[in-house]
Amino acid sequence: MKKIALNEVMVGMKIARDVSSSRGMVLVKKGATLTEGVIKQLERYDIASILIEDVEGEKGAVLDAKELEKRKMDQMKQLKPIFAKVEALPWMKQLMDAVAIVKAGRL
Amino acid sequence: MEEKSFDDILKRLSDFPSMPTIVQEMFKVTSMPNCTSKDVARVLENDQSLTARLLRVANSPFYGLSRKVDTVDRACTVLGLNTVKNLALSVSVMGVFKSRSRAATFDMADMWRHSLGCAVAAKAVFELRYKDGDNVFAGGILHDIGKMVLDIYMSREYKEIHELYGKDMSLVDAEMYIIGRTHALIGRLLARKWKFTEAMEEMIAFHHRPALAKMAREHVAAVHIGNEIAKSLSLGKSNELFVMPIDEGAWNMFFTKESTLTDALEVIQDGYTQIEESLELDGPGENRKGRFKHGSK
Repeated sequence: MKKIALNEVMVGMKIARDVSSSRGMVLVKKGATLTEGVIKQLERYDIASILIEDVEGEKGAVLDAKELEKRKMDQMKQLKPIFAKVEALPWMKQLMDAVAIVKAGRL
Repeated sequence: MEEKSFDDILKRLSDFPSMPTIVQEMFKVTSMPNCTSKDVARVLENDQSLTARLLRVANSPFYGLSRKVDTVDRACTVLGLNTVKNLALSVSVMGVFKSRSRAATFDMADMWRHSLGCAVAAKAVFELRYKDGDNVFAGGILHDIGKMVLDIYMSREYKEIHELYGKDMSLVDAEMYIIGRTHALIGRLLARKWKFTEAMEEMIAFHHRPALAKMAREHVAAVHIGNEIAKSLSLGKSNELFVMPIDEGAWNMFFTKESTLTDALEVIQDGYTQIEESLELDGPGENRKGRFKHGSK
């Protein structure tokens, strides 16, 4: 576990301790994975730093690009049946890709 | 047979509960030009359970308040009247259907989760270009209200519709085949009966065909897109199995660059998680019947 300043955190890092606002409301729970949205939320609450899990930890803190790509492919496979009727439309394919990327970063 | 069924719906719709009094009063008060947060608070005070639910949602991380609000007055000051009004509308209508659910063809709680996913997505999409997506949020919550009416008042026909659907027929086609009308139209009838705003009526009526909207094209487009995004991200569980094509014109209103799309989906996925818990939808809707019967806290 290590402390990292909020302006140095990266998407995909895993949170090691609950993060609370100055008034005591839990903003992000332990074990959650950082996403753009979570980081923005923490910025809104003026959180200066957070505790994240070490890279050596079993689940790893930052995903490497290869692993992320593999997960994205898995997600695409799962999305295929529900997108079956619309995949041919370029903007729907774009949506499908984006969903796969977002899901892959959150496993 | 089709026409007869439809007359039947209309007749049963006239037995349908009138719009919850508290929501009617809410609309009346908030449309007064010099309405204050005190006026809103006075109306809501009459319904302790609605107030409790509303405050729980207002305090969820979704709205990002830096301190907890514990009175309606405070909620109005901090979140704004429009947000509180739309939240009151959403929670009170959900309350009406929650307690009447017989869950004939689908699980009410799952359906509300899907509606919530649509609401969060529609608001985020709308706010890519415009301010104040609160009306769109409420539109997302209510877009499938016609399905709830069909499920409760025409459960036999709706079961038949579900049997057809999936055998290579879209849900809307199956609805047309069995009762000759879609859930969007039934929802529109209810919206009129309950005197929703025209924009709300359009969001419900045209969420599958946004090009038909006249008054509130951007609102309708956002709900239309939000509906498919909610299905794509599996937020809640719609009774529709497939993602349907998003209208290209609607899509182009909001998405021009690919980067915007991924960012928006992140915001939507997070927003859904942040607000879902506060609505207390967990567990099948039916088992929680009467949960709020005895007032607040």
